[in-house]
Amino acid sequence: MTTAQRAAVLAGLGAWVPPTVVTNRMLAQRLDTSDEWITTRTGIRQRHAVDPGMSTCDLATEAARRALKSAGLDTVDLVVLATTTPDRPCPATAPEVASRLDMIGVPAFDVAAVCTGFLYALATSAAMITAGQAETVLVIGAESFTTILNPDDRTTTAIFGDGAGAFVLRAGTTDEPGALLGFDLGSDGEGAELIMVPAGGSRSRSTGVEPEREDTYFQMQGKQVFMNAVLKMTESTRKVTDSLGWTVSDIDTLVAHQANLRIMHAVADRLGVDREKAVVNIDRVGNTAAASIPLALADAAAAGTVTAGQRVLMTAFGGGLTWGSAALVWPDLVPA
Amino acid sequence: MDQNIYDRIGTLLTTRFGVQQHELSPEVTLENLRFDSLALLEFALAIEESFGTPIDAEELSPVHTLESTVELVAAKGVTV
Repeated sequence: MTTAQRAAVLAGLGAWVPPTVVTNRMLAQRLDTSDEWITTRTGIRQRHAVDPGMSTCDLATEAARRALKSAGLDTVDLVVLATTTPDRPCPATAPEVASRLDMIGVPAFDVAAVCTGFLYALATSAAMITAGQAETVLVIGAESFTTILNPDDRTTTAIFGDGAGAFVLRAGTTDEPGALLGFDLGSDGEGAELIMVPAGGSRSRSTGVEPEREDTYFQMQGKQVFMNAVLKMTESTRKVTDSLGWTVSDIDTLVAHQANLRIMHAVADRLGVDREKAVVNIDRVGNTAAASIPLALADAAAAGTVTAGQRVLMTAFGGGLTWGSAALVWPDLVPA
Repeated sequence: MDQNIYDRIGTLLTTRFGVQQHELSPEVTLENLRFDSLALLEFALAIEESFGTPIDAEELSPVHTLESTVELVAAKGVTV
């Protein structure tokens, strides 16, 4: 018999997307693409986009309010925000989110791991709880990803969207539903060029040369990303299931980063998990990068497709390159 | 052409890629089998999984025939 140990437990869940919807047909009116091309290659039918003047902080704050309400809390000990699209290059966005939530004085910081960002933030937050540094943590994934897309790039414009999702974690024990049971995180900087915004950072700015316009936007090498995403999410999922003594058939719900429907299907097939067990909301929100996993889970919880007692496996892959996975038994949550 | 590799690739195509048995022939191209750019990647991953040898994203193209796909796999030292 194993003794229950201190653990981070999921206590609240919330999400928010900006109201403006961009359909495939709307993209096809200004780019050389079509609804059929986008749908068959990505599974995406529409995505949400921030309006002028709106930012990641706005999205993060709305999702966080809902997660706090779901957890029945007004404040937490720590705020961690995973984002690729902070409000400004400096400072981090998390402190402003905390302030807007009337949590001035609470430690708050950003985590950058692109589409794996939420799982990196979740692992960091869980570790702060198990180390006794916090009793409650607000973990947010939020992106205004459309703000870094090249409007002339029909591929990335079709894939990415804006949104936010948040978890509230509390201290508990490993034998409780909602306890985060296992993590796997990894990176490979040799693949940095596969997913990047080339300009805007120190490497470009130190040259003193004005960057080319396209280098100020997000760029992605689709083929290599597709292959690596499938291989790494599969491998990482297996590491977590092996570490917990689970078999693949123990997974009731697979929450893969909503990168592309065909990537999610390839991961499920390769793992031997029924595609029906994969949570899918990419058709409605596109790829929302660091927001994708909590946003997908909030949708699945609202739809009743993820329910208390299910063994849930989350896995993601993103720029860096980075990847990661985490597992929990789904708790009985109060809807936001 | 290695018949065993050909047969296993044929099984992958019919069981996972919606290809009908009567469509299979050494001369048919992946393009003829309705493969788009992502299906090529999915096929490369399926070959890697089935034969245990990695296929790069750029190695398979729509103009590959089943025979040349078999040769690509065989050239990696695969024996079935």
